[in-house]
Amino acid sequence: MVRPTFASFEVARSAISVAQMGLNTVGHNISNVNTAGYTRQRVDQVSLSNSGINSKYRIYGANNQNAGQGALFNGISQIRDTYLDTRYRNEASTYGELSVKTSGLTELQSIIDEISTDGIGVKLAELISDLTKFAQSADDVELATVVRNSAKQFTQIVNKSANEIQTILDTQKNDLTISLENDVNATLEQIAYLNEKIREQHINGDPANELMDSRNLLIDQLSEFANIKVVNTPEKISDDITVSRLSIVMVDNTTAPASEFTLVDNKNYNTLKSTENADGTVSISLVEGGTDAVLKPDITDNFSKGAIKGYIDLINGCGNYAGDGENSFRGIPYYQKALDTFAQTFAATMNRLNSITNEESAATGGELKPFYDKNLFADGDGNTVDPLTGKSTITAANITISDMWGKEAWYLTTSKLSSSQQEDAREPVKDDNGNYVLDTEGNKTYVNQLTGDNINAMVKALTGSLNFSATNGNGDKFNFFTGTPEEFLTNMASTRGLDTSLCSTLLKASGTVISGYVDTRDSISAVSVDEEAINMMTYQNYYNAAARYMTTLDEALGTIIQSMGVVGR
Amino acid sequence: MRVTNVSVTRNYLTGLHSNRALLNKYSNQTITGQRFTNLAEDPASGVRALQVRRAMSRNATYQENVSAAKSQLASAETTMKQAVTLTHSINELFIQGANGTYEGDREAIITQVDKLQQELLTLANGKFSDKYMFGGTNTTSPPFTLDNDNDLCYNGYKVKDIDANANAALFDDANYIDIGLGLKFNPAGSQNVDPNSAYKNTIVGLDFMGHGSENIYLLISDMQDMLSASPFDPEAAGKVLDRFQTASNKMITELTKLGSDDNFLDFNKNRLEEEKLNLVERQEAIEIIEPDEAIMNWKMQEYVYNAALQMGSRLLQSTLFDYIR
Repeated sequence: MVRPTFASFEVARSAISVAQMGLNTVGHNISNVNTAGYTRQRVDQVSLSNSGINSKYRIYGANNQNAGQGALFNGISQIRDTYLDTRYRNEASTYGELSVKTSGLTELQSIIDEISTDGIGVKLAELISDLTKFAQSADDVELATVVRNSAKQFTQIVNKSANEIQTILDTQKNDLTISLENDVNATLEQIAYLNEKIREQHINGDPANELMDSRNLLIDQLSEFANIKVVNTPEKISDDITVSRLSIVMVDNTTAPASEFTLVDNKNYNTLKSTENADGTVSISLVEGGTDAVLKPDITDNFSKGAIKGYIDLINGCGNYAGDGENSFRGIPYYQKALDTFAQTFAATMNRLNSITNEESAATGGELKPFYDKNLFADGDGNTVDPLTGKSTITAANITISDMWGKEAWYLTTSKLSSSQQEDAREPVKDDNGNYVLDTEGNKTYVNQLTGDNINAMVKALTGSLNFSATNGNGDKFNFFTGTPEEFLTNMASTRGLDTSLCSTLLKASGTVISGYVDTRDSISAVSVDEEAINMMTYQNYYNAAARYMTTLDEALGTIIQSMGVVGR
Repeated sequence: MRVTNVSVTRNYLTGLHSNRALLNKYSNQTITGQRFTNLAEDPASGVRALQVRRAMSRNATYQENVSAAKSQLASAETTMKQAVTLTHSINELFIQGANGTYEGDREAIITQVDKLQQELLTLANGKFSDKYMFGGTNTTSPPFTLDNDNDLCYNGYKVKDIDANANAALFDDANYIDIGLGLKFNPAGSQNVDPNSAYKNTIVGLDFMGHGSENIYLLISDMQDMLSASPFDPEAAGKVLDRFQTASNKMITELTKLGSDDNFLDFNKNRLEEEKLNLVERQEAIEIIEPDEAIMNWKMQEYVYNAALQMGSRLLQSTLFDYIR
């Protein structure tokens, strides 16, 4: 078969247009070196052969005179590895969770940690020191006033710490709401929108590279917040066209079988909403996107990883105080409740020591009941115990010195000699002139002498081991801590320190792992400027060669047209 | 592995951030001299540091207690010494009176002794900065008073009727202060301080003045009665004088006891001071970083940081385009 005359020009033209396409792509890649989420593009070209032409007189084999038909531009494709994407997103959710927890626990440092700042521990030490001095001269009204002031300052600093912790808790709840609105829900909506657009483009045959890059970037951002799984299912549009349908589900592997909650399915999306419960905990619900219809009212326990879980643990976690079904991470409520236990036990111990007991009853084996209560510390309303439940109403936020003590510095019981001892060790009262004050029958009147033995007992209690008992979420009593009050505070601070140090170490490790994934992903998908420079030189030479070839063909044809058959003209 | 510009820049930035953070930490250490600023950096050392701080504040309180007790004791000792001297003078006068033959002499002696007896009473009601020293826990009113019958009373009880067993509460009356010996209650949980675990800083005047019929004030009155009796009975007077001298010697014994209390307080003062030095040393070992170590670390890190900065300027700039003609 004879090859058409101008077929070779067609070959040259195809070469030139492919070279141009290559140069354009190189330019596109270079200009997008720093674009976030950009995946490098490359020209697909195939060579055209002349097979497939069946003709009766075709000669095959060694006598075949026909070479190929040039190059054909077959489209521009992206180079991306979806497996690496999955690995990255997995690690990103761990990273997000640890990042939120580390920063939340670090916020508590200025309140609980006393290495660099003076806090409750220092004020307690001052109170104990003032009590020790008062014990020496328990009849000194100035020292009694000093003790009362010291106690008042102590309660004030406990109140302040409790309020600061509450502020941090409220800030975290606020952050969660903002994060869900701006970071999560907005992203879900955008992904759904992109899904719709990409699908349209794919149906029209356009690979929609830039839109796919944007969508991947959004999914990467979303993966920091929850444990998500991206599912691509093929969807048949017609006999010739099949497009991929993308949906994102949140997976909870702790249930058996694993539960899945749809976040995005094609152009439909759902949103997450956080609500505050009556007891201060927060719960997350799944709401249909764009409407208010609640699909799942409480999926708080279904978050297994991600920044949202970090927030939930910080806001709901109450450590040892957790009852059944409650969050047992040592979050902010744990420290709140621990401080409450501290205040309650402190107040109960001091109140009990200050109250007058019936010693004779104890001596005969009866129970040591308070003869009457003399409370030094109370809640803001003047109560210490709820009469219905018998539980203490004192919390770290409301502990104050009692009204009676506020009015009279001598409300502090300095001596608790038994009533019979008190009979013997009395002194007669004298008036200003040095005469005895006599009662109506002419007998001398007596007052109790003021020793400091009860003050010593108070000091001993505050520097000795106490049982800090508390009630957990189920209503069961448990012993939270046994030790001196100062050891309690140190224990609270060191628990926070250890938890923080663990979270930040894990965060660093996770950061390193993610960095590795990102590097590997970049080595496949990202643009290397040196490589593009070489491509550019290649395509340029390619273009020159193709142009030179076309010139050659032109000359050859010119020879045939103009120079052949002029002999004898 | 194919290395791209983005990953090079990103990794460089990460390295630079962590270098900077380390530089910041070392410069903080150099400036503050503290090894760590919160428990998260070093939980074990932090807990130990807090324990040492607690022990130091406790130690300071005990030292204050000891020094307050010492000043009070010094004042009590001075007063008691004066009282002892007084009894010696009275003793001299009594000896004269017992041996003297003229009634006129004895009258003069009785008058002199009267005055000295009043002085003794004043000394027994001695004060230390507004507090009476010898009334046990009664520091607000004079312990030794004269009632309507002109009988000597101690804290309202007639001295001549005071019996060691029946009025045991008066003798056990004490206030204890904590000087770091490990305050205990005996029995545990009661209000009674174990005397071996604290320092008793009250003095019961009856101990050195005597009680019942052996009270030195009463003996002086008895002696005066003897001297003013007529006829003068030297044998009976001699017996009373003997009892007076026994009471005077008892006073000296009590004074010695105060001296040994003073030694005890000195011993504790030294013990507490040494304990404080140990605690300061421990605190330094745990919390403080030596300036030379801190500066060395910082210098080294600064060098590393500068090297990273320099290298980055070369690493990030050159591409193939620089070399294509």
